[in-house]
Amino acid sequence: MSDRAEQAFREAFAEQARIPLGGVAPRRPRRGPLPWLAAAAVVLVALGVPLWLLLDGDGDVALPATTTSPSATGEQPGPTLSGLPAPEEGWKWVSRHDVAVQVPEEWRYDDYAWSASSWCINGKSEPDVPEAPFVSSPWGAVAAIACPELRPEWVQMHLEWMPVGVESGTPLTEQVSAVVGDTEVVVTLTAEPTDQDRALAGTITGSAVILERDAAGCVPVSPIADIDARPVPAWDVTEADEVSEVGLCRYQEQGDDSLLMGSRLLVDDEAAAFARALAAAPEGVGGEPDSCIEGYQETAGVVVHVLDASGVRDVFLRVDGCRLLGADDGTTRRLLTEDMCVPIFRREPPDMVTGGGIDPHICWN
Amino acid sequence: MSASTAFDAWVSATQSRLLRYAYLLCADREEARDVVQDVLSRMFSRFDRLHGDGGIDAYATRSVTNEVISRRRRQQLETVALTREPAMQSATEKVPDRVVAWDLCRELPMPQRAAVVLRFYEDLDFARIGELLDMPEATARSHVHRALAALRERLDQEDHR
Repeated sequence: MSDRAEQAFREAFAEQARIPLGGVAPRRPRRGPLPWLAAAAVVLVALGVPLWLLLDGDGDVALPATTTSPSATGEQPGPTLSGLPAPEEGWKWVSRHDVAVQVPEEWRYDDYAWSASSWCINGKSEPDVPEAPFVSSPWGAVAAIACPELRPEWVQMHLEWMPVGVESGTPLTEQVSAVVGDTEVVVTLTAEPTDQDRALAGTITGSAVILERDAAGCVPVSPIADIDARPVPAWDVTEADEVSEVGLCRYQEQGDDSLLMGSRLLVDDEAAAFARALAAAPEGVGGEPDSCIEGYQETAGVVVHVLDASGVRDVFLRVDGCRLLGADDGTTRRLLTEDMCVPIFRREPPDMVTGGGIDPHICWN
Repeated sequence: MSASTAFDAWVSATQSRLLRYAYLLCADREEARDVVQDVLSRMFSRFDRLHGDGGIDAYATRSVTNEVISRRRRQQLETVALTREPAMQSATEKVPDRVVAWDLCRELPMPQRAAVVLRFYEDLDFARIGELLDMPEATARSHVHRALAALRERLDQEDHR
């Protein structure tokens, strides 16, 4: 009998502990926090901006970047999804897990760093080396293919995120890195880097910060990995009004959590068009649950933050696997459509993230 | 490694366990997040000293427990507790043991509940539980044994329902 009771407690706790809890970011003491908050509150109240837009879901004070910089635009600051300061001019934020890094605006995502190992399968004499520096997509499966090893001259400058303490082998070329939290931000240089390249790499790694919300309003961990999770609060996406920004946050399940892999912020007309695409999608649920592999664990999804006149509400986009595929605002489930898939997966050049887990063909159906 | 970086690294390594522990104590996702955030925020300024002492994990666990207890006391002053209705079950449907256990756990006084969670979720021995909860080992043992006795009685009732 004793075993049964003990076992019941163990099973109860194990079950409850599977509930996605996300992560938290401790508040750090700031210099003069009260004057800043007071000043911000005065400005926001004067502008008619709801004060809650300054606060995240836990009641924490977000960074001042929650309003756009009036000095940059000459206009009155407005609410924004971003939880990061404005990047340097000509730069942009890219983020993965809980670390955001600034890179030059022209840098795009590319799978080359992990897919190049299979370059010879296409019968080529050498891989297609990207012409420009890039942000490396999350790791994908590296095929064990007997291609000749990459040569240093086939390395293009790129940024990647590595877990601290993971041995990744001897790099072919020089690297510049910085550790932030439990992540090592690494910029790999070409075979013959210039001092300018090294300085650029140092600027990139030096910009790395731990994020609470990234430039698209994405948090590091999402409950979307739980197939039964729905947006809270539930709302009706067809009632979105005056949409000014849409944050696209791509998550991938790793271990117990669904971690941020990449993001993009849509603004103005592009944001409004995306919200209209969500609202116009037919009601229904995609996928073929009858053909699901038993025990298949959906791992990839996109959380969409919609900022409109009422504030920020979420839509979950499930794009992986064979169950409950589509968009969900917590009230209504809708089918994936091409109009909502293109901005996420099929825009060229890719500037969100590619590879790893999502089958974008689902969006062609 | 700077103190701030070391703190970030420690938080990254620890927060998932603390969040789950806090959730099992308060059974509320948002409250658990608030509790852990408050605790970690307070620990930032003392991180160097706590880390140097080598007891930082125990301190964090103790702080989460105390914070949940403290919040419960404040809530009791501010709110009127409603009698919790048992979940509707059909006459023939057997309630799984784990559900009975979780229901009981949520009724336990907080120090007892913490002891039970540390014992059966974190698999700690009574000496360690006593240390973490700042209570004699015998008290920790007594808390757990009484919870088990109550659960046995509850399971027995369920069997004869």
